[in-house]
Amino acid sequence: MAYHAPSKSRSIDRGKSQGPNLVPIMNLFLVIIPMLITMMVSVQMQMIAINLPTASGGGKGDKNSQEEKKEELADITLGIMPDKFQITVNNKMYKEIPNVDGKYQFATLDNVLSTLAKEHPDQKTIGIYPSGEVPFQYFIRTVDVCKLDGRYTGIKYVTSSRKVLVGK
Amino acid sequence: MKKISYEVNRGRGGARKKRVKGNKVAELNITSLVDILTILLLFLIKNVSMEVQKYTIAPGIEPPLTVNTDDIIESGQTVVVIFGKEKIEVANSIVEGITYNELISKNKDLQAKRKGLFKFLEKQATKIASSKGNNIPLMLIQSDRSVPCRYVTEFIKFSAGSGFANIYFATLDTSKNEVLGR
Repeated sequence: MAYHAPSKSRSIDRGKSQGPNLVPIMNLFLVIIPMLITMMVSVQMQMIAINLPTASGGGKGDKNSQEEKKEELADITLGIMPDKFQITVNNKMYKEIPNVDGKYQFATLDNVLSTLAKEHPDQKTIGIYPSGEVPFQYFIRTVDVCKLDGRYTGIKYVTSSRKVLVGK
Repeated sequence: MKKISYEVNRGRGGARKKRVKGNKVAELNITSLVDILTILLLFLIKNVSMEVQKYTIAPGIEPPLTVNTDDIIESGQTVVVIFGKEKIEVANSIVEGITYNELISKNKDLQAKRKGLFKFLEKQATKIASSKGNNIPLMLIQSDRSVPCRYVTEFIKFSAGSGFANIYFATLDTSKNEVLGR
């Protein structure tokens, strides 16, 4: 650094301070902000879980206690047929809710399920059997109605056609 | 911004006058803009979750609506399967998707792709289960609401056989009244 005599250094212009150069940071912002905006999810996806039916038999535990437990818990299955809902308890017909004007009666199903849940308060799992031609949205809507107010926490996807034995 | 002025005097055939260049520079004050952008940047960084990116809805899919929501198992690793309008595909994978006809067909020629997909899912399930931390293989099905249940049922049987016991369906949030049709 050059030496300035005290008399000269007084005359050096110290008043002009240069501001920071914001151009590089602006460039960075212009890249990052649109990228983050495109990454932002405007529609939040929800998830609904189902259980798969487990293979029965094969257990070698306390036979009596297992049988007692089985007796206590009812086997509730809800069939979604193209023209109705069909509810069976222990393979016996409990209730049929036919469609009205080609529409599924979800409000009626809600009432029937709340009555059924009161009759079998310990049973928290329900099997749902959707008929092949039923659109997926009706299956999910039925699962949702079953889960309403926490009446059934476990939903079993019944894949076998054994449900069809009732009524048809 | 530079203010430049040119003056040219061509009157009376005289020689060109010297150009006078203005040296006034008006600077744009971008400090307030940088302030706003910094706040916006911090807000976006805080809100953009990388985990959510994995579960965005595939284009062209209209998921069904639900009120209830289940949380995904924390120790699980998810494989996302997309049931589009024509094909079933595994998201972010190189394996070829299969058509609905190929899924349910008993024709041996059509079953080749189905077998390929089955092997892929089986490998994925084994890989997840044997990974560090003993993760649970999870399957997230993103299906269009109009897909008939026979395909979903068939695929669930298919994926259960390949080692995915925990299955989730992608939905969108709605109100209770809409679900009950009131």
